Amino acid sequence: MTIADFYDQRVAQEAEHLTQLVISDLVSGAPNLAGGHFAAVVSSPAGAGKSYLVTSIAGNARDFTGGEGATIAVAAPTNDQAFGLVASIAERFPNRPVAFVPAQNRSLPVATSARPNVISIPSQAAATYPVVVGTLDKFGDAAGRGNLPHFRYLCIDEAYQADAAKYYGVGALADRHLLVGDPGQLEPFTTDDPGRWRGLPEDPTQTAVQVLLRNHPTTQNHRMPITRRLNAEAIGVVESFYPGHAFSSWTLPGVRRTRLVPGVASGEGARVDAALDLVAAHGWAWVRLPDTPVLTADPATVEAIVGLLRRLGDRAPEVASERTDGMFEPLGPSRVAVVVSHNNQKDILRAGLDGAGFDEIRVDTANKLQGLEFDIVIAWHPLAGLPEGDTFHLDPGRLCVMLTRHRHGCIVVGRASDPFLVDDLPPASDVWLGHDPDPILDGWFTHSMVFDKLAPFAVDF
Amino acid sequence: MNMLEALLVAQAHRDGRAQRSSAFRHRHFVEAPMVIVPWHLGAEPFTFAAIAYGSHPETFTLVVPGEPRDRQLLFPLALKLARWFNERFEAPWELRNTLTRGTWSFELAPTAPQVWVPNEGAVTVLGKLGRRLAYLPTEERPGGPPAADPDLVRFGRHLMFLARNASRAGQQLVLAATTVAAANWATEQTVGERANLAALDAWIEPPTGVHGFDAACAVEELSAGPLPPPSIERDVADLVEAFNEARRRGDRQAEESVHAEVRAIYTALSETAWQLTWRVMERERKWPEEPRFVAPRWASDIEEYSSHMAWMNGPAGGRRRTRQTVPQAIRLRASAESERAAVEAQEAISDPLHLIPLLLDHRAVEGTLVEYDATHREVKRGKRNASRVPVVTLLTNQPCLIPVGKELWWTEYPDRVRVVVERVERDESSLETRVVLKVMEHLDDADHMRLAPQPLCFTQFSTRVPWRTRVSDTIPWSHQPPGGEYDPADVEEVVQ
Amino acid sequence: MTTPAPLQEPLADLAGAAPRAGWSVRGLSKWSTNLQCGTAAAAFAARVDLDRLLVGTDYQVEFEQSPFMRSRGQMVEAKVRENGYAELIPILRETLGFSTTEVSARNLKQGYPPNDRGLLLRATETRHIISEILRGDLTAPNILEGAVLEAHLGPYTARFEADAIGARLGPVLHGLEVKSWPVVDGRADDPGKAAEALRQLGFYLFLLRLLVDDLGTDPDIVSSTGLLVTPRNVGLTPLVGSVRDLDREIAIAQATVDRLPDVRDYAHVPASEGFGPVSAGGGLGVQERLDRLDALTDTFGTHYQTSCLTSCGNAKFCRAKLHASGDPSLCGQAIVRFLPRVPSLRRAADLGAGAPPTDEETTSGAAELLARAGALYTERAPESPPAVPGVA
Ligand code: SF4
Repeated sequence: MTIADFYDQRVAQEAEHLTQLVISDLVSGAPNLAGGHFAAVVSSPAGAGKSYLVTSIAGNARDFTGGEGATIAVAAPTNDQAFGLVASIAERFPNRPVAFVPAQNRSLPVATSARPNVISIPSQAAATYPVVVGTLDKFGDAAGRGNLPHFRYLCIDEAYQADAAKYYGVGALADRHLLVGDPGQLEPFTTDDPGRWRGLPEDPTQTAVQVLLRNHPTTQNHRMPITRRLNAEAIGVVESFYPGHAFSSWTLPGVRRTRLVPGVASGEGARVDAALDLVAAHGWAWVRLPDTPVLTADPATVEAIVGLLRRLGDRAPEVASERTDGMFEPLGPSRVAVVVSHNNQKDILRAGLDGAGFDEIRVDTANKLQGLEFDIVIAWHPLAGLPEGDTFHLDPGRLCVMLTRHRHGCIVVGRASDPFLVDDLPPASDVWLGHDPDPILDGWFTHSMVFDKLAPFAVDF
Repeated sequence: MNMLEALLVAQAHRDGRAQRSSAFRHRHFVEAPMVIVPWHLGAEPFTFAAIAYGSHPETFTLVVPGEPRDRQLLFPLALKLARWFNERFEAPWELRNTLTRGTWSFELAPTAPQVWVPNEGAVTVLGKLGRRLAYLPTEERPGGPPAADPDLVRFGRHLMFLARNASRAGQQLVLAATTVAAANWATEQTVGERANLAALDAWIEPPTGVHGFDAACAVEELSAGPLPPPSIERDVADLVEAFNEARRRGDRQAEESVHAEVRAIYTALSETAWQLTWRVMERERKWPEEPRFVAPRWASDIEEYSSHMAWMNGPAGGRRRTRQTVPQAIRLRASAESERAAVEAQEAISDPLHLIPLLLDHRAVEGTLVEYDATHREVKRGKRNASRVPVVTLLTNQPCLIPVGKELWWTEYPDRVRVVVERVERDESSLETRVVLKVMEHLDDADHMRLAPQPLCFTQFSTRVPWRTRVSDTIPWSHQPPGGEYDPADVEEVVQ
Repeated sequence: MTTPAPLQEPLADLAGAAPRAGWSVRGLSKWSTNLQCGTAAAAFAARVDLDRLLVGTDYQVEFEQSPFMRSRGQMVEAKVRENGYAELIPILRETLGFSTTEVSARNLKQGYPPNDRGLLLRATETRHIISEILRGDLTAPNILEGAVLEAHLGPYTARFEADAIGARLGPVLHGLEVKSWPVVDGRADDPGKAAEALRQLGFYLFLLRLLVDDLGTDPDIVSSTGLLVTPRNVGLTPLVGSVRDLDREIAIAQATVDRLPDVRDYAHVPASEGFGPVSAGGGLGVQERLDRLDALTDTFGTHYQTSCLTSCGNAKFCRAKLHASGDPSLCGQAIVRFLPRVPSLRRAADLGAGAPPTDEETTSGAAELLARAGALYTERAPESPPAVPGVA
C-alpha cells in the first residue's frame, strides 16, 4: 500500500497550504488591525488535526525568532488540553525545549514530564523559553500579577471553548494572536443567567472568537478544509454541523474498514447484527428503539447499548486503516466509547457495562469526551425518548461532539419518536440583539437535517 | 423538576393541596419588611399606574398619578413614595459601625432593610422605574428637562441597586412572595401558573373541602400585579382618557372625580395583592429558618447593602454605569457563578427533603458508619511518601450507582472534608450496600465522623469558594469595543 | 392587524355560528405553537376563533393586548414619520447601507377604508409599487409603510399588514418593523418580544419573496437582513435600529405555511359535530355547549402543553379535562419525563405510597424510583409547620 491509496492528496495539500499561510501571516504578515496588531482565526471541523497546526506554529515561530525567549505563548482552556499540547509539541520537536507553566496543584502526566525536552517552570521564568505552554487561566492569573513577559505571539487552541473572560486575561500577552478552534463543539457554558449580557460587547460568556471578531472585524478568518479523524463516510452527516464550511476527510473512502465475522442470529439478535453490519459497512447505524416514554436514565436503552457491545465483541471486530497500513487488527475495548448527555445516564450505563465485563470501554458525557477520539462510538441520542426538545438537548454542539469522536463508525441509539420532536416548528426562543447564535433554532434545524441524513442507516429494534 | 417533585405534584393532585417540598424556609425574614405593590401601565415600561406601599399588613398608602405618562403628575407622587422609602431603606445605615481590619477599615450597618413584593414582575417594574429616576439631572440646564428632586434620584439609585442585586443567587434584600412560596411547595401547576400569587396561595391553603385545582381556578383572574386583568385595564384606559380630557378642558371637578375612580380601581386591586403578599409571608414565617447557611448569607446581604450605602454617600453619590466595563462584567460573572453554586449546595445539603432527589439520582449517599479506619496510610498519586488516608465504610439500604473515583463532600463540613469513592458493594440478599470512601482532605475534621450523629451523608455539593483568577483593570486590545466605552447619558426624555 | 373573514368560505359547516378569526401573523404564530393539537388544527382550518369560542362560560379567557400598548405603538410610529422620517433616514443609512438622503415615502395606512376592501386595495397598491421598484423606476417610493402582502393559503386568500418595506438602489428590498418596546442600555427590553418581532418580520420577508417571485424577479433581491426600529432607553425618542439576519425566521415562515391544515380533511364533518353548537351563537345552554366541546375535542384530539395557556382560548377547558383524568402533562412536559408509562398522577401518588406496580411501570424504571421517593419523603416530611420559638 502506498500513501496514494490512503490519502486524499488534494485536500491534504490544501490543508498544508493553509497551515503555511497561517504561519507566515502570524510571524511576519502585515498588521491587519488598528494599533499595529494582528489577529487570525482558524476554524476547523472536528478532528482536523488542530494540534498538528498548533505544534507547527509553535515550532515555526520559534525558528523565526531564532529561539529567543518568550517567542510564543500557547494556551488552551483546560489542563488536559494544555497537557496534550505539551506532549505533541515535545514529540514533534524532540530536540527543542518546551516549557510548561502548571496551574496550582496540577502537574503534567508522568509520561510527558519525563521527556527530556519538557520542563515545568514558574511563570516568572517564562522569559528565557521560546515556547511556553499553559492554561488560559494560569496565564491570565500570572499576567494579572505581572509575572509573565510580553510574548511575540499568542496562540490559543480550542478557542471556541474558551470564553471571552478567559481570553481577557491573556489578551495583552502579545500583539499578534492566532485563535484556533472547532466551531461545531459545545460552547463554554455558564451557570449564571446566560441572558445577563447576551448581545453586549462586554459579554464575558461569549467565545474568545466571538469577542475578537466583534471588536476587530478585519481579523483573518480561515477555514480548515480537512478532517483527519473522521472517515470519508462520516462527512455527509457531519457537515450539517458546519454550515458554509466545506471540508473532506484526509483518508479516501474505503480506507477505514471494519470487519466482523458474519452474524447469524435471529429475532432481536438479527436486528442487532443488522445495526453492526451497517456501521461496519457505512460507518453509521441508527438504532431506533420503540416509541415509548422513558426516564432520562432509561434502563431499556442501557440494555440495548450493552447488547450492541456484547454482540460487537462476539463478532470479533477488526479494523484496518492508514494506521495499520491497511491490515486488519483486532479492535480493543479501549478504542470503543459510549457518549451520553447526562451524568445519570453515564452512571447507570457504567454499572451496566461493568456488570457485563466491559470495564475498559469508556463511558462519558459529551462535555468530557470533547477532544478525544475512538474507533467505534455509540452515541445515546440527546433527544432519545424526550417528550419535547429544550435548549440543553437541542444544543447542536452536544450532538456534534457525539457524532464526531469516531474514526471508523458511530452507532446512534435513540427512539423511533425522536425525529418528531423536530418535525413541527421550533418553539419560541429568546433573541439577543447583537448575538446571532440561537441554540434552539440552530439545534432544531441541525437535528432535523441529521435525522434525515441518518435515515438510510436506520434499524428499528 | 426531579423525581421527588414529580411525586409531590402527584400527591398534590391526590390530596387536593400543595405539598411541602422544603423542611425549612431558606430565606431570612426581617420582622418589619417594606412591602411594595407596583402597578404597571400596559406597555409603558418606565412609569407606574399606581404603587401601594407600607409596612403593616392592615394598611397601605397608595399613589395614583392619574396620567402616568405625564412627569408633572408622576414625579410629585413618586417623590412622596421616595421619601417614605429612602427614610426606611437608609435607617439601618444610620446605625453603622466602623470596623477595622489591620490598615483597612470599612463601615457596616447592623442590619439591612428587606423589601417584599408580590412577584418577580414587580421587581422588574421597580428596577425600570429606578433606571429612569437614577439618572435624572438634579440641576436645571438650558434646553434640558426641569431639575429633579435629589430624593427622587436617590430613590432611583436604591431601586436600581435592589433590582440588580435581585439576580444574586440566594439574596434576601428583596423577596418576591411567589418565588418564596414556590420554592417550598409543590403544586399541580406549570411554572407560569405558579407565578400567579393568588392561584399559588389557593393551592397551598384551599378553602376546606375544595380541591386546590378548583380553588386556584376560582382566583386565577385576580392579579397581584404588575398588570391588572385586561378587562380592568380597558376601564383604566377609558378613565385615563377622560382624565386627560378633563385636564384639557381645565375642568378640575371632573378631573378629580375621574381620578377618584382610577384610584378606586387600584385600591381594590392593591387590597387583594396586599393581603396575598402578607398572607404568604406570614405563612412561610411560621416555618423555621434553615439554621446553617441563611444567617451567614444575611450577613453578606448586609455587607452588600452597606457597600451600596457607602457608594451612595461617596463622591459618586451612588451614580453607577448603566452597563459594566469588560473587567466588571468578568468579575461579576465569576462571583455570580460561585455564589450560585454555593447557594445551590447550601440549599441541597441543609434540607433533608432536598437531599431526597440527590439520593435517588446517585448524587449523594447516606449511610451508617460501620468502620472508620483512621490510621490507614498510602502513597497518593504524584506523591512519594505515604500519608494518612482514613477509610470510611458506610452501610446503606439504598442502591448506589456512584462511580468509583467520584469526589464527594461530607455534609457536615461541605467546604472541607473531601472524600473519594473507593468501592461500592451491593449485597443482593440483604439488599444492603457497603460504600467505602477515602478521606482526601481535612482529616482532622473527618475524624469527627466517629462521633457524628448517624446516618452520615456525602454529596457532590461543596460550599467551598473557588479560587478566582485576577482580573486586570487594563482592557487588552482584543477586548476593546470599537466604539469605546458606553457612557450613560442623562436619559430622561419628556414623553408628552 | 386582523381582518374580518371573507363571507364566502369553505368549511361553513364545521364553523357554524362560531366566531371567525381574521388573518394576522400573530394569529398564525399562536396557532403554530401547537401543531400537534387536532382541535386547534380543525379550528384553524375553519377559521374559527378559539379565543372567543367559550365566551359566556367559565372557561373564557382574555388574551387582549393592552390598550396602552396600542397607543404607545401609535406614538412611536408617529415619531418615525415625524419631519419626513428624519430619524429613520440615518438609521437606514447606518444599518442597511441606504445611500439616499431623499426619502420618498408612501404610507398605505392612511387613505384606505379600515376594512377588507381597504386591505384589498392596499395589497393591489403594494404589488404595484413593488413592481415599479423592481423595474428600477426612480420615482417609486423607497419607504412603503403599511404594505399589505397577500398569500394564498389553501382555499383562502389572506392579506397581512406589514410595518414597512424599504428599498435601496439595486434594487434591494428590506423589511423593517417598528416596535414600541425600547432597547435599553444596548439591549432589547424583553428578549421574548424581540424574538416575536423578528419572527413576524421573517414572515413578511417570506411573503415579500413570494410576491417578488410572482412578479418574475429573483426573490433573492429581498434581503434576509431585517431591521427593528425601537425607542432607545426611557423615552419615545431617540429611535434606534437593530439589524439581524433572518434566514432562520424565513425558513420558519415557510415551514409554518407548509404545515397549514388541509381543509379537505374536514369537509365531511357535519354541522352538529362542529364548532357551531359550542359557541354562544349556537343557541345551546352552557353545559350543553361544554359537552359538545368535550365530544369535539375527543373527535379531533388535543395535545395540551404549557404554551396553550398563553396561546389558545380553549386552554382552561383542556386543562380542566386533563385535571379530571389526572394527566401529568397538565403541569408541563418536564414532569411527564419522570413518569414514563405511569398512566396518571393519581397512579403516581399510589406508586409513591407503595402500591404494587404493573410490569410496564416496573420496566420503565419509574415505579421503583417513585416508591423510594415516597418512602424517603414519608420518613422525613414535616408535619404542618413545626413550632418556631417566639412565633405564635
Ligand atoms: S388548549 Fe386544547 S385545544 Fe387549544 S391548542 Fe391546547 S390542547 Fe389544543
